[in-house]
Amino acid sequence: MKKSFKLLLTIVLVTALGFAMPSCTKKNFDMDRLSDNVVYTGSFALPIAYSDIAFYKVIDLMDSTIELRDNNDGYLSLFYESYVESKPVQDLLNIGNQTYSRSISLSDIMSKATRSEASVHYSTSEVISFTMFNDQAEIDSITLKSATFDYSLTNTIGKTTKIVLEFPSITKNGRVFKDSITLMPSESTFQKQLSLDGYTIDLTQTSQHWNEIPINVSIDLNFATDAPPTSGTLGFTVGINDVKYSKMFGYFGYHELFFQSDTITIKLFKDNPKYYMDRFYFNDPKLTVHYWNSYGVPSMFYFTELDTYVQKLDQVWDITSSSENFPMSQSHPFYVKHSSSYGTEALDSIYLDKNNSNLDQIVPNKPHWVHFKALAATNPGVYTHDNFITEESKLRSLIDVEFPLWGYLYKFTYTDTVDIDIADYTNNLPISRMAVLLTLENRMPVEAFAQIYLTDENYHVLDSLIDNPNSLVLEAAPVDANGRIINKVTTQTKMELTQKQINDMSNCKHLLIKLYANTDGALQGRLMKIYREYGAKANIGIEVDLDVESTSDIDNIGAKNLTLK
Amino acid sequence: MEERKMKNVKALIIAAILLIFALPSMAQQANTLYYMDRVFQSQTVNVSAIPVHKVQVGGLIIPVFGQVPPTMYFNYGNNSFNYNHIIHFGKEEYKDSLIIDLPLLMKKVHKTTAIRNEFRLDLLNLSFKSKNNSAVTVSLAERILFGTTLPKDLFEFAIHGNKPYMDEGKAHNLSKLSFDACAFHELGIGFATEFAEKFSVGGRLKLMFGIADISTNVGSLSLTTNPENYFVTADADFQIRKSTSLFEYDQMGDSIVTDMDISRALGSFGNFGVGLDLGFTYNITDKISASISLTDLGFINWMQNAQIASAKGEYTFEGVELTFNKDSIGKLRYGLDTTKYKHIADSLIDMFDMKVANKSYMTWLPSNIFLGATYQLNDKIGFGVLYRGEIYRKSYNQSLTLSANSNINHWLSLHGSWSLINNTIMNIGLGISARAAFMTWYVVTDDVIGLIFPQKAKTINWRMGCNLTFGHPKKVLKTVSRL
Repeated sequence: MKKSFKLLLTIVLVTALGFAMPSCTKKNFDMDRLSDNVVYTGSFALPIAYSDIAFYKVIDLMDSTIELRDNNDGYLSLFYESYVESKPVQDLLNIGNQTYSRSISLSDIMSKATRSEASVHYSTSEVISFTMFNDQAEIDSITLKSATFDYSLTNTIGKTTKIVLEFPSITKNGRVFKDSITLMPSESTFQKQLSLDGYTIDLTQTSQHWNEIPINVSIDLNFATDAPPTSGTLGFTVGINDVKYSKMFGYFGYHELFFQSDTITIKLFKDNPKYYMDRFYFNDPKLTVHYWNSYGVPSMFYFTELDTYVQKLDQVWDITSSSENFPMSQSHPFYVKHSSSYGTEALDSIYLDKNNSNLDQIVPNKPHWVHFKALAATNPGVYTHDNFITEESKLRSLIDVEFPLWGYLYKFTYTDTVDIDIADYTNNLPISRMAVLLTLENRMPVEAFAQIYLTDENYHVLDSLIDNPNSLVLEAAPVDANGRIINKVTTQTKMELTQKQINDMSNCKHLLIKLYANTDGALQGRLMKIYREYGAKANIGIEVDLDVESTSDIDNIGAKNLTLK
Repeated sequence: MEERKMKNVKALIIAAILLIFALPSMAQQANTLYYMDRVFQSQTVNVSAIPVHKVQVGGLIIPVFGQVPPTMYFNYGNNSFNYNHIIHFGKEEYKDSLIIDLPLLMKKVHKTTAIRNEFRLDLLNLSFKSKNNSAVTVSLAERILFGTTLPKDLFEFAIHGNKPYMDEGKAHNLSKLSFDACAFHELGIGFATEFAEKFSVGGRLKLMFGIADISTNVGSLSLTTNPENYFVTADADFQIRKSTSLFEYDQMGDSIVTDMDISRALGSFGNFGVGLDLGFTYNITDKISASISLTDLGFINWMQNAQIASAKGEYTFEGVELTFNKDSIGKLRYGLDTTKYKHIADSLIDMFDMKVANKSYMTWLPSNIFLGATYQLNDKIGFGVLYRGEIYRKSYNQSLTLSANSNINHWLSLHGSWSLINNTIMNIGLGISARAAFMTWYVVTDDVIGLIFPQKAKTINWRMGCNLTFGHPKKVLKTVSRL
């Protein structure tokens, strides 16, 4: 027993001593003893960034006023546009309130009436003449979407009087519009309003054959229980008011549909701090007027003013007087197709190009804007009763300045900064070697030179990355006879950074990129076409050798993350 | 400035070390305990062991005795490297300073590094033995298992970089990468009996109630760097699974929403699992016996707050995208698209285009097989040999232990062992149980040196506790024969 106890005691004591962590063990976990003697070598090859840029998307972003479309030949055109549109037809060709009044004395009635013992019957036909939206308008018919018929009566004859008003040329579903009223002897005035919604007014049923409608008035005086009338007057006033038509036929006369001015700004040629085009050529610039006409009316369109400001010469150039053949001047108006059948719309267009205007001289001089005043009018020197309109009729015009991307570009300079806090990533990182691998895939007939500068927070250049900025970084993709690329070209540049460049990265807050680009053969005037699929892809990878030799290096590894702003 | 840097270094290194040491591990590595027949807890590794005492009671819920010391088990194992393989004292002018030695770490890293941790807290242990040497046992325990397997290529990538492999045209093969962490309650009901005088057999049914789980299921994963452009392509087929309310993937799988409500997270009981321990002992002669034991054959079905994020296919990382876009004032800028860009790490996560599904999943417990044999030299001392194999996902970890076991008298038994564990032979184990009246204290470890010099240990484990024992046999029992 004693032996066993001693043994146990011995084991417990020895174990307890052992478990009382030896000082050498404690020292192993004493981080105050951690020295700067760290050996770490790693070699990484990593993709950092990529950029796949479609040409058309960049253009879209550069200038939101640009419309980029595939043209009829399949390549891209830049468009600057302005819409001109006529007012709603009911405002332009407005039919005002039409009123007709008549007063008939008892003597007139008695002289022309058919008389019996206790009554008198009198009837008469009158003509109501319409006042139209212009003096020349000769309207044949109007289908009313809505209108009211208002009439009022005054009767001083003092007998029971029945009046019937009938409009034989106002019909709806074959029924003639008419109304009757009987006034008692005590009633001297009367007013009534009726709806004319859906009625058609035929304005050709008079001898004039337009703008008039007949009205038949019938009057019956009844005095069976009374003495015959001796004096008095019967008066009536009728009005067709608040007219909204759904369609109208006839001859509408000469009527200005719009006279409007606007300015199309062409940002592409404006000075921009980021890009500059030294020399360029567009082979076929155009200014086109597109016309949508749902009026069934011959119309014309012309510019009263069309001029542009050319920045290079600081001058405003008149385009309308640039050519004898200029097709949209007052002397040579553009006669626009019109709708030939109810409910259809006629499309038409006319354009200015280098053959009928001075556009080819204007464009190289960097036009900043195109200003115009345009006029459109109906029935220019035409007389016909075939005109028609509907409540939806509209005259719209789109004026666009088109730059088909067919030409050349020489010395296009693009400058931009990328906010990339490389210091956050590389500051004190023990980089012993660094190489940047730039892989470019070109899907455009464009060659480029580039330089990338490292700058500090104040954009002061610290260093540059490309040894020879005069060497091509982007080789133009080869094209066929039509100027379309045959295949993409991939070029790869590996830039081995010097220790100074690596050190400069510590203070780098921005990358300043300068790019110079030409279309292939621009100096020789070789024309290229730009298609939608054109673009370029860049991949940036780095090779980094890390060589940790002290804890100050370790301190920063992984402590900060790459932040790109 | 320098002082601040040093503090940062320390924080970084301590965090890294804690991470490594807190990281996973599983399965009971209780090789010395296996032959400690007076300690009821040896039943946890060999269920065919018949308890010595007629009645034993233990566990944290037993007043006073259950807490001095608490009945618990801790195990850490790393089959590749120890602390001093990363940080150690230098030479010459650095002989009193610690140095970080990554080249040494790379030398020590095996093809796969298996790091395992287990923490077990016994709440209640009961055993009742009948006169005919049959025993019924009941146990209630809280268990936390961690485990990770790190392929060497992961260390290669992190420490040597990807360029050496790129130059050789090799891929970084991470297919054996795994990470598992789970916590669960375990209720075990066991029965062991002897028959035909030479045999004993035992079994334990374990019902498990999962609290939380985060685990991976990697079918294949490799990273290849293209030397032409440095693109990194991941050929991946893996899942990240979780059953916890601590965080949620959004349905797009590209962001994680966290909810650090620990009490709510611990309140999960609805993840049901079943496990089985089986054991068999054969007394070949009076002096020689052999045994086999299988433990933790089972699974847990994780259902509560369960999500599986899957990636399958080939994913290429080309870097972050730079493009033309407009800044807040409408100016054209070339750079990152700030509407899409969050962080470079997100780009990497997005690269895998994870698909998230809210559905249950199953995890298997890390299972063990023990094969043992003993030779009883005399009444005082016997010798044992024990082979242990752990099956955990795609890895199989083995150990071999030689032990000397002695029930010195009625109240004291001593056990010493020497093991080959985690690829090192420097594992000297010690186990003691001492009985006073109805109390039996015990403490056991497979590596005493690891406890004294943790900086050199690949294995650190110990188990301790106090059982109330009743019906102690009058006769001194042979140590390794249970029959």
